[in-house]
Amino acid sequence: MSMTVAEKVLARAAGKSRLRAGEYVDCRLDGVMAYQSFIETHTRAIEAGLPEGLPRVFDPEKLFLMVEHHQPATNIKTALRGVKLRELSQRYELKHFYDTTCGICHQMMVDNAHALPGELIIGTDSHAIMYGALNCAATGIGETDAGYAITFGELWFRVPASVRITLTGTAPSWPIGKDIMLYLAGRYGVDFALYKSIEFAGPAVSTLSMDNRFTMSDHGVEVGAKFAMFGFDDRTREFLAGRTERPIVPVNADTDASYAHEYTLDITNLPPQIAVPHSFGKNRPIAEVAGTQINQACIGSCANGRFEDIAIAAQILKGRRVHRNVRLLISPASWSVYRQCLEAGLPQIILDAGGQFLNPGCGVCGANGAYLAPGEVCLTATTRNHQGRMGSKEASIYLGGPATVAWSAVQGAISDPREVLN
Amino acid sequence: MLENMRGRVVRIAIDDISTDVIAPSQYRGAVADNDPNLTVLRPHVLEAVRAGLDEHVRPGDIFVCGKNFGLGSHREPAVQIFKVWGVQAVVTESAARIWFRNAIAAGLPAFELEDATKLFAEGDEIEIDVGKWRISNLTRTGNAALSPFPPTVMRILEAGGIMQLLKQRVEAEMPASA
Repeated sequence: MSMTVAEKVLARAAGKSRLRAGEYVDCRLDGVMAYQSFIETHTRAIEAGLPEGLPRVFDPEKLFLMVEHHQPATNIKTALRGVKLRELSQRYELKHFYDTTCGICHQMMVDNAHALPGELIIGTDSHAIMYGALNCAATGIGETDAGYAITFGELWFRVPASVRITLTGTAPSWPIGKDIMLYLAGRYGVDFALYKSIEFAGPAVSTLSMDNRFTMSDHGVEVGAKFAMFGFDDRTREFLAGRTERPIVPVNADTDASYAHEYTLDITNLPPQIAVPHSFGKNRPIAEVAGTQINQACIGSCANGRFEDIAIAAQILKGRRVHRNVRLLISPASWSVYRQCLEAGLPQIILDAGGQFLNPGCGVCGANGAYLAPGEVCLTATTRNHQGRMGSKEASIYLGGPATVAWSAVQGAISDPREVLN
Repeated sequence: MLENMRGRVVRIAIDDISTDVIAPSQYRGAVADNDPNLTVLRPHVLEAVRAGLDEHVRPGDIFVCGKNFGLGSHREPAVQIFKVWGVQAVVTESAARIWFRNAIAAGLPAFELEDATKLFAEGDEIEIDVGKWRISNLTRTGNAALSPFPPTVMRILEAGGIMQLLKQRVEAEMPASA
């Protein structure tokens, strides 16, 4: 009986030889990612009548805990959470606790190869789905579910139906992952993969860098997906080389596996895409919105805070000036990405152009640090443009790729980066 | 036991409502961890699409929402608020995956029903029968079949949420730590 990648991973984790979409199963977890909101898990457990919080961690080597999301602490609440996290990391004798040199949790998970091909990993954040770029079945859950998962190392799952997205053509020399996902969301809706597992396939995949793939898997949740996975190939192998000694067991779909939907997209000449307020799926050809003036431009987050995203920005900014009406904020996704950027001299170029090079973290994604006032307009290569995400519900957030953001920051208005890339 | 419900409809007939709209970041960041009643957030829930909900909602109400409700961020206040308000259930045309999981984990029954926002109007009195798995409009005629929850989900809802299930299992398997 043939199975999809999701069916195979969940069957293995449930100790079954076969599974079909729609079944409910209890699965053993290969890892759990939790960040500062682990304190919410702890609090829920106390409220439920466990005075010390969770009685145990199922495996101290498989809970990846981070003082992350708002670091350095942005208020007294996050500072207090940091104190408690340090205490809990010792109480549970966690092997993997990231504190003073932390970056965005999801980048930390892949930088340190805590999510591997074929594994089933959950995290208390919707963008945990990003590890799918490493052929890992990963998905986000809430803090309450996480309490059960962390104590017993297992959790219930509904086996998702799968959708296959076949990419043909060749990727350009600049990051295109964002544009691909914006295009798909605009064409098929922000719920086209609701409760489903996406499998990216096709001849163009081998031309997509790991950084592109992380962007695409990350945005799987923006179209409703539970998993958003790539296969395992030379690029995956190269990325993981030297990061782990654990065995790597890739999973591929059977050739006659069954899909709820199949889509095909030729990425060769895909134009830059823009999502207008307030939805990831409100996609417009860039020509239609070009000229829209902006006050803030951001590049970062688990969607677009990796080296290639920042390198393309630096390439565009080199020898140019950011428009005087625009605040350009660039934040690397992690400590390791920060170092990569430093070694390549990127912060110097960005600063010379009048942009800001910020610390690694989620701040530029609106979570805590890129607030907009009523009436302000932001073009951002981060995760989402939902109303109110960056503060005021009267602000306008547009989404675009990092090249689009960098060139628009120079121009002071939304502009087509092919003007300088071709 | 999960019991039958009868209540007044509060209808949000808009698709793709995000958790950023349900629970805006602006009113979450500085709130202390010991604020189970969400006092800061509460007046601002869903305000971008419908102002004044906090004054309108009464315990026992049943929310009826559009497609892909609760998409985006995993934030739990987007589910907790319904418990704080005393809402009995949320009926969506479809729910975003994590929002649905969070609802079940919190012990909030979340039903999915195609065309729910067409079958029920604001203020209608409706009844949900979880034995027969039917939902009925008592204000105007009309009823529809609901998909029964699978045993896994029923077990969590009947325990009052997954933390209660966790506590039961800890007491059974690890008596020393409970």
